Parts: sequence; C-alpha cells; structure tokens
Amino acid sequence: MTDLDRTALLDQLLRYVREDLATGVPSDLITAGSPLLELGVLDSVRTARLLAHIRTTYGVRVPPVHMTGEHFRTLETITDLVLLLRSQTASL
Amino acid sequence: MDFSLSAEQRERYAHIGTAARHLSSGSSAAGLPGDIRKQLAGLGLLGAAVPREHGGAGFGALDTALLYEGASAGGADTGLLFAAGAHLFACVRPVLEFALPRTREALLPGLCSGELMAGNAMTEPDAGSDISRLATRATRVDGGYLLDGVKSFVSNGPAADLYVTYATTDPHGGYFSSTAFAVDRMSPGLVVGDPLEKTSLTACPAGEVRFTRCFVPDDRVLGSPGQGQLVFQTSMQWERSCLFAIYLGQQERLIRRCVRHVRERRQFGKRLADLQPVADRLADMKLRLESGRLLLYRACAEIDDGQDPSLWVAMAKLAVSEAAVATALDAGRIFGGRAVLTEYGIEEEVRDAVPATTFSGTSDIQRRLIAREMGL
Repeated sequence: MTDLDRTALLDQLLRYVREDLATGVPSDLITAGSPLLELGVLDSVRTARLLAHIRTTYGVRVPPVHMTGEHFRTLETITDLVLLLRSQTASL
Repeated sequence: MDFSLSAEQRERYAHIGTAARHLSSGSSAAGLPGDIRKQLAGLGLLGAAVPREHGGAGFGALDTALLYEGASAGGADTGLLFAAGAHLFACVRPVLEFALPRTREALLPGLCSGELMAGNAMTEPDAGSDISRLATRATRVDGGYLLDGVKSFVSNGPAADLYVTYATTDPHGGYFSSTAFAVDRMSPGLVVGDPLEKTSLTACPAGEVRFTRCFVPDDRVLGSPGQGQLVFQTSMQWERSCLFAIYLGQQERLIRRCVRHVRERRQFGKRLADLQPVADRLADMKLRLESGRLLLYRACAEIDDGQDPSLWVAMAKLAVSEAAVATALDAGRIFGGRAVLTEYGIEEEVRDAVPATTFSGTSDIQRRLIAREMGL
C-alpha cells in the first residue's frame, strides 16, 4: 500500500470505525469530522483496537509522543497522523 | 529460538537466591523501615530496570524478571518483593519513561537507592477494573494542577515518599481524559491513610491517599496532559510481566518443598511420592510453573525487543497468577493437616497467592485483553 491518498485512507478508516470498531453507535453519528473522543467512541478499549488496526493494516506504530487527544480528535486528524507517520517511516 | 539462560544470567539467579534468602519483614508490623529499604536496594530490586546513569542496574525486562524470580525462589518474603515490584514497575518506570529530564534526574537516584519509596495511586473506591472514569480530578491552575479525590489500595501508600497518581483532566477526552502525576508525600493537601489490615502480602503496607486541593507543579506531570492511560498501560506491561516473576519463584519454592515432603513422608506403607495421585498432582504443578514461565519470559523478550508485548503480557499474567493460586492450594493438599499450621508457612503462601488474580488487572480483564489482541 504505497500510493495511499488521503481521501482513500480517510474513507477506509471511516468504514472501519463505523462497521468494526464502534458497533452500537449509530453510524450516521460517525463522520470524518465528528468528535470521536467526546462521543465516547474512542474509550481505552476501542483506542487500543484502533491502534492495533492501524499497526496491522498500515504498518504504522503510533509512538507515545503522538498519542495525544489532538491527533485522535476526529477521523480527519487520525488520517493525517497515519499519513505523517507513514511518510516518516518511508523516509528512513 | 534459544530457551537457555546465559552463564551470567544463571549465576546472577543463583546469587540473588542466596543473598535474598533472609529477606524478611522481621515483624508483622507493616512498614518499610530504612534497613529493609537498604536491603531491597542492595539486592538491586528497587532500580533493576533503570539505566545505570540514573542509579539503576541497567537491566531489561527479562533480566529484571529473573532477579525477582531468583529472590523469590531463594525464599525472600513475597510481600517485600511485591512492595519493591510495585515501586519499580508502577512508579519508577513511568518516571523514567515519561517525566521531564530534570524531574528524572531529581527523582531516579533516590528511587533506586531506597531513599525514596513510591506508591502507585490509581485504584479508587469506585474505579477498580474500570479506570476509564476516574473521580479524582486535576484542575488547571497557574504553574500546575490542583488534585482532588481519594485513591484506595495504594501499595506502599502508608510508607511512600512519592506517589504516581492519575486524575481526570478532561472529562470528555475519552482515551485522553486523564493525566499522570508524580506527587510528593509532603505536598500540602495530601493526606495518607492508616495501613489497611490485610491478610496477604502483609509486609507491603497499603492504604488510602486523599488529595484536597493538592498542588502539583507542571514539572511533575508524567507524559503530556491527557496521556494518563498511556502512562498507566505502559507501566502495566512491566508490572504484569516482571512483577509476576515473584510468583514463578514462589511456585519454584513450593514445588521444591513438596517434592522433599513427598519423598520423606510415608503413608500406606509407601512414600507419598509413590502414590500415583500425589505424583500426578506434582506433575500438574510443574506443568503450570513451566508453562507460565515460558509465557512470562516471552513477554519480557517482547518488551526488550521493542515489540508490542500486549498479547504476551496478558497471557503471562493470567497464566502465572492462576498457576500461583492453584499450586499454593495443591501444596496445601500435599501437606494435609500441616497446611493450616502457621509454622509450616503453607497457609501464608496461599494467602499471598490469592490476590495475584486480582491486582494489576483481574484474570477476566486479562482475558478481555487477549481477546482484543485476537481481533475479536
């Protein structure tokens, strides 16, 4: 998965959160910009599952310094974080 | 895949076993007096997993686990080892990994030497397994935070000089709702409760810690604000693996005693060892010990390799703690009536084993973590 553009990644993550992660939360509540932390979607269990998903699917481990509320506020910010970390890994 | 310990590791294991043999609390009075701290530090238990430049031994997770296991197998008091483990894994490691450089430099040498003992203040009266909504609050003020709330079951609490604690900083922050702090005992607004009267791990004092508008300066925040869960989970990876090596040592010691006993005692005209049900029981005890040991060493190896150890850590904690309880009870059956006599110490081993399936995350919580790692 090399040429992953932002729109495609956002779309994939949105689908993952709606269909796999946040079962029980009405899916129309979950959009690219909805506040996942405030909605309670990203509690400790689901955040851990999301991190595992990002690791296995995109080969990206989120280092502690990037584990902040700012990066996990919405699917948009999560997408940007994954892209940022992927570009850092690629440039190594 | 290499399952053997190096010559150096074997030697260190044997050495700590001998050196720690007489490590006991001396009396039933709970507390961690200076001479005990000195002994724990002298054995390297308080700073094992801390780099040398900060006053520690510079060990990784596996060598740290071997140190605790060796001390326990040698006969050191389980409660004292638990006190040292709670200090190192739940408090010193978070300071090492998440504190500002100047805070690390200020605290770590004292934490490794035993001059400072630390207590982990996470559990609350209404937050045991569910730590997602901590009632303890931290309110932002100029230069730091004000803590308000009550922490219960703080291991080392009554004796500690420093507390690693967690408080809600953003109630709507989901995973990022809490923040970790390293708080001095002498902070105004911090009140330490009396030691709880408990029946297990009695050498490790535990009690309540109460915060009332307790000021904590910014340089005592561990990690960045909102990273409380991350700090706690990172510390639990160490605690659920390395600390439980104490229970490998306990099983090793119990099995050794049981083997000696069944070879000496005779019933029905035979050695107990020649009675098949007795031999079967000991075979199961050995199987449990070695299965747990493989998982625990594997978990430590994952930590040392920089891999995500979550799955292995949860399996190790679950296997070793359940094995400890089952094996202590089995030792009770093997010793028969003597098991309830305090002079034989078996009942104390049972009392010390039982809480292992509860603290550091219950067995049910570990199963939940394993299921999560399986993608369920």
